[in-house]
Amino acid sequence: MGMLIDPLTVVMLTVVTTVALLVEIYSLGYMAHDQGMGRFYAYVSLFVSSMLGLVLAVSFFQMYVFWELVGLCSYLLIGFYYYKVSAREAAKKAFITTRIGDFGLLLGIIMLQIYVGTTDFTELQLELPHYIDVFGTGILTVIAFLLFIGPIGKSGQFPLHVWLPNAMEGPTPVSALIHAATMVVAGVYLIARAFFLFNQIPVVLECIAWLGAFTAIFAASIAITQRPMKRILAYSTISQLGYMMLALGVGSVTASMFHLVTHAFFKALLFLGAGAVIEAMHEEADIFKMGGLKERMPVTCKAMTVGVLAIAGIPPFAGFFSKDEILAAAFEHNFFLFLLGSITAFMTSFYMARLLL
Amino acid sequence: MFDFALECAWLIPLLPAIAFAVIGLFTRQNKQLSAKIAIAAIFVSFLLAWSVLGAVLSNNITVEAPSLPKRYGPLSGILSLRWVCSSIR
Repeated sequence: MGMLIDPLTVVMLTVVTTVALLVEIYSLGYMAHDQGMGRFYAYVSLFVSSMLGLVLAVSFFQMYVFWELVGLCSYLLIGFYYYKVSAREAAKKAFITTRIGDFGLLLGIIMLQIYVGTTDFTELQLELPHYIDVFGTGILTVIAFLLFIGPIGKSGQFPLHVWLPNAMEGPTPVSALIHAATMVVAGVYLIARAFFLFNQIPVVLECIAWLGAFTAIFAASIAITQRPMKRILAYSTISQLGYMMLALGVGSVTASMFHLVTHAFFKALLFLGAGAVIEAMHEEADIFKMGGLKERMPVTCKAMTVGVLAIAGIPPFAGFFSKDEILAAAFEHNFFLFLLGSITAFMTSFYMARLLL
Repeated sequence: MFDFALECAWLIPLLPAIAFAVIGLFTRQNKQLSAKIAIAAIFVSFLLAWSVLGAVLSNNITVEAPSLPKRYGPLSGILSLRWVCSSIR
């Protein structure tokens, strides 16, 4: 056990604590009339604590312990309204789907310990070049693929993305937390943290890039067909996570982490705005049944406009710069990845503009 | 100025965990008090996290040269996967 503090850790620490603080303050009003408010705050505190522990982890093994705690908390919070059948089913779906990914991750960690002799990040960074010189990259390729299965489940990449839209069954502040700061970005962080390992095996990076690009365009095309506000945002999260994976796959950790930060803030803003709108509409979430809210909810409208402009990649908002950096990295790597990313960016602008207008 | 934050970084995940324990065991029925405890805990974590950012910038800590301020030896031994693997063998 220990702590590893470097710029990567600090970026995550600041994002997680800032978003969690804002979500908890928002929940003061949102959950005020809920009988389970105390239970809600207990679960959210454990959720945030687990994510912060994951971020500070010094080894794969320590990270895995907190990784599982994050999974447990997401189960408890998605099934917060346990008296609703749909919430119980969504919680089970999220738990089982992420377990599939977690099993792959656990196998990868065990193999890493058996073959390389350590799971400590700093030790691994020193050991790996010697290991590759002696044994080659055969076993390491298997290990890297197994490790990557964990992020596929946790970060909602195709085909284990199915749990994320159903996770909307929890209270809206929980959706904001899961989608912005405390869960889905854990997979992106894991790959960024262990990038020294993935970087040694180009074939795995290539798979990450293509899977990310496919997930981005696939989720964006589903988002176009959706009508409920929170489901559109859920699919947009899957799409943006695909973007982050694409950036990692083409070798740009900086672009990926930059998009992680910008996405965390504008997605939290969009979810908290959506929560206010749905509450005002008496739980009506269909965007085609809404209209004229600009006059009745001017502050929420302005906040949502900022969020939509950011996610659509309109300058001078943050989303423009992070997406631009990812597309530039993709362009240098492979033109078709760049093309997929660009088409996804246009699709994102379309469905987010439809949500706002 | 922010160097204390590097030594106290373990408090960042610990404070919300303590909030969870206190709310879960004692204050769950009191909605407002539970909310205040949770928000106070995450607020201190938030301040510490930003202080760690200050410390990383002022000490020129990089990904290539990270800071490893704490290693918990005995606990590490108990939880070590190496120990588990050697036991299986």
